[in-house]
Amino acid sequence: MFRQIFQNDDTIVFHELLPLNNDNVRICVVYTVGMADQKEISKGLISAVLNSPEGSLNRENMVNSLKKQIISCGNIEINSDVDKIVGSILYGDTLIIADNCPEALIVDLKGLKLRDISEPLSENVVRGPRDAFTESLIINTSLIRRRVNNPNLKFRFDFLGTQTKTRICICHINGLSNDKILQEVNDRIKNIRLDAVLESGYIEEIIRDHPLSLFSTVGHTERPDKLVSGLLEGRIAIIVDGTPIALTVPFLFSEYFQSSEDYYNDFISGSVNRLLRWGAFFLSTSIPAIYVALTSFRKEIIPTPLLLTISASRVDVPFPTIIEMFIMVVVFEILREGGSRLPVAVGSTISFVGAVVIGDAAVNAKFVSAPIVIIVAVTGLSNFLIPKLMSSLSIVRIILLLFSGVIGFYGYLFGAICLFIHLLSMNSFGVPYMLSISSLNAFEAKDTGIRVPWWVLRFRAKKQSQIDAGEANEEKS
Amino acid sequence: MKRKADIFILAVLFILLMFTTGCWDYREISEEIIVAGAAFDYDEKNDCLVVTAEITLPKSSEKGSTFNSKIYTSKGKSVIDAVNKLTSKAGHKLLWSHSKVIILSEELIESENLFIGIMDWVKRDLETRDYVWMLLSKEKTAGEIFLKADPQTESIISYYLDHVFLTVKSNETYMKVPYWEFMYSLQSEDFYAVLPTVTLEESDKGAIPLVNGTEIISRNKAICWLDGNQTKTLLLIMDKLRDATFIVEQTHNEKRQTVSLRILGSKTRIKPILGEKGLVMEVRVQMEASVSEIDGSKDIFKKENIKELEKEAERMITGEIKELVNLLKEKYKVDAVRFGDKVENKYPKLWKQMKNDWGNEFEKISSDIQVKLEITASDQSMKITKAGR
Repeated sequence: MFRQIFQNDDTIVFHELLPLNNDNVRICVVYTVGMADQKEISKGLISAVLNSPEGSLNRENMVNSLKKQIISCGNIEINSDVDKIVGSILYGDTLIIADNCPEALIVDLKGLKLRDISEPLSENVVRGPRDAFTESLIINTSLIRRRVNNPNLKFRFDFLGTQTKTRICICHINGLSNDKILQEVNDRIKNIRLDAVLESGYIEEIIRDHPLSLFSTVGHTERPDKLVSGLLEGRIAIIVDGTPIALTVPFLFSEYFQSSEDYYNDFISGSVNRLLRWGAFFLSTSIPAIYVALTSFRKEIIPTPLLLTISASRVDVPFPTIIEMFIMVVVFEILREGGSRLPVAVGSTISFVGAVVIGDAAVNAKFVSAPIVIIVAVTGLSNFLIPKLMSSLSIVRIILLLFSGVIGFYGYLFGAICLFIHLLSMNSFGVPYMLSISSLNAFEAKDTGIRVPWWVLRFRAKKQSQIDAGEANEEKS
Repeated sequence: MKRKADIFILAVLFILLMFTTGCWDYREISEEIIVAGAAFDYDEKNDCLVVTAEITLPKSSEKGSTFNSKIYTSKGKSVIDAVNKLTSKAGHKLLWSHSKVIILSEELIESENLFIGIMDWVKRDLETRDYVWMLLSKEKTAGEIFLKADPQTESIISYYLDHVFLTVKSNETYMKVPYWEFMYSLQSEDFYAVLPTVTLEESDKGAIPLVNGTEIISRNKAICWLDGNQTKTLLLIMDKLRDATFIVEQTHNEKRQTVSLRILGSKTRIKPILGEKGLVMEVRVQMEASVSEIDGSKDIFKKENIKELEKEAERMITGEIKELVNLLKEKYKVDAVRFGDKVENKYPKLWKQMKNDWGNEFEKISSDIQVKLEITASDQSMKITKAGR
């Protein structure tokens, strides 16, 4: 029967055995080449079965005796469900079947070659652990487990994707996480109908609360330490096999501005860095728009010497300020996108061309004025302080720029108000997205704008989970 | 449903809000020419207004940007008329929001309607600002200041004058009068105002505009001019003196010696007292000063010498105040020291009787002036600089 299922597939190996000391017994070992550990199979499985003592294998208790007496490998499972058996073969397990026997043994002898644990690529820190998640689900769970030696840390596996049958793992700490949120996560994941899940982004896009928003309500990280700190705050993590990016929910807007390094360094520099990131958020979204509003609509606000300098730099420039700004912002986006996708060797060409073309030639040729280059450079730099928001901020920036290009400062404020109304109206799994940003209570807001010292932070986890619980209850009632 | 209605209401509110905003016209900086300052004259022959405007022309080169100032003149029946002609001369829209000074001429002030017209225009125009500095030209015309002056430290005359008002403090021989303050005193009941005056001082590389002294203007008449020293005293009486120097003369061993005292702080209180002899203004000045220069060899830092110096300075300043008050009282009958306000605050009923004839009443008021000066610092040295030790 298995031969039928796996026909025309040369990676599935069927190894028939006739044990020496037991006549009339035919045993077949089935596994996938490359995913099962062939050395272990031949040493611990095949030779054990072939050399099994006389009389140990008979029809009646074949499976049990194989499992308990003969095979010297760990994690053996007896199963008769064909779907399950097929799934585990494809996942790298080894199958043992015997003639005329209704049940089969699944032996966990995975030997898939995987990338080693390496340093995180997108979330670097100077001080802090250097390990990052890998593509292997099991290694990832082990990275988490190693940090939380607590039986309350629970992992629950599931399959997603009708074609790929990708393994995912929902992970939380019992007692810290909120049951209602956990239930909500389970429900949403159960409702996913997808052919394939190749990356956690597939899941993120489906389970997030506001699919059309620029801002995600599901967090993602490749740092186990960050994920664990989320778990300890009562969050729920979703790890997907085949990708080093894990998801955390619920996700708050302020988390975009938190780096795990804030907590490893002293609280003063952590706070300064965090405030810098908030400032960068403002700069990155707003300065092109404010510059256009100032120079084209509200010239009286600019100090006279500055106005003179700006007006001198605009002499002979053919385009209106708004067009100039728009061109430069788009060129910057092109450079950024180009730089981030290209291999390192070519990437430096991009930055060189960008620096020469934008920085110097364009100004000298009077295509754009010098202040615009400065504005775009500051915008771009501050963009890099919040890497996870980079692409959303580009869109926000362009929208604000267009608003302020049409009706000046009012347009800018209009856009900013809309942005905040949108952000404040969002929820992430029942928790307000802007939780504790909109709070006027210093105690609740303490870990948002700045990183407060640990001794003040002591009560945080409790408070947070209470709020979470309260919100979730409200939603239900 | 409710949510939809909410969104609808919000959207309507936002759209309505859009129409409540002021100007939203998009205009490039390079399309506009920045007016740095303007001078207004009255042309008696043609009975028209002459506007002399200083505009800035940016020039950018490889090395950086520089600014030249250019002077345009135009005539018109009204301010708007003249300014519009100016615009067509310049060929660009003029940006008035960054103009720093307005210079008036005496003739213009005396031609009442145009003077009011200018004040009205500054207030009414969208772009002109309330904090533009007001000046009175002591030259023949106001336009001359722009046409002839060449301050060496700045290429733009108006911004040079702006600097004069903003940064130079060491010796206050002029007042800072922004438009709003001038307007405020013009609209006050006794209808008089002060303006700093500007003259041109010849130097070997062209004329330098010099702000010095104060003109007192009543109704549409320039009444009297106070020189720099008198301006300082006026500021002292009005409790506006912040940083100034007084030079005290002394005799020592039959040689004259002068000591310069820099004022660190001063406080003036004026109290009207209604006594048997009629109104007496009690003027009490309290000053703190530091020794900033000694031209002589007398050791003034001895205790008794310091006391003596203080006494002498007090006497001198008292004398100056008295002189100024008497000058205003007897010669011009103009209450530039604002005694009237004090009377109104303390004796409102009396004020009502007096205010119609305040000019004459002011003349009758006697004043009791007392100055208290204390030397508390000596800058960087406590010694006398002597030749031959």
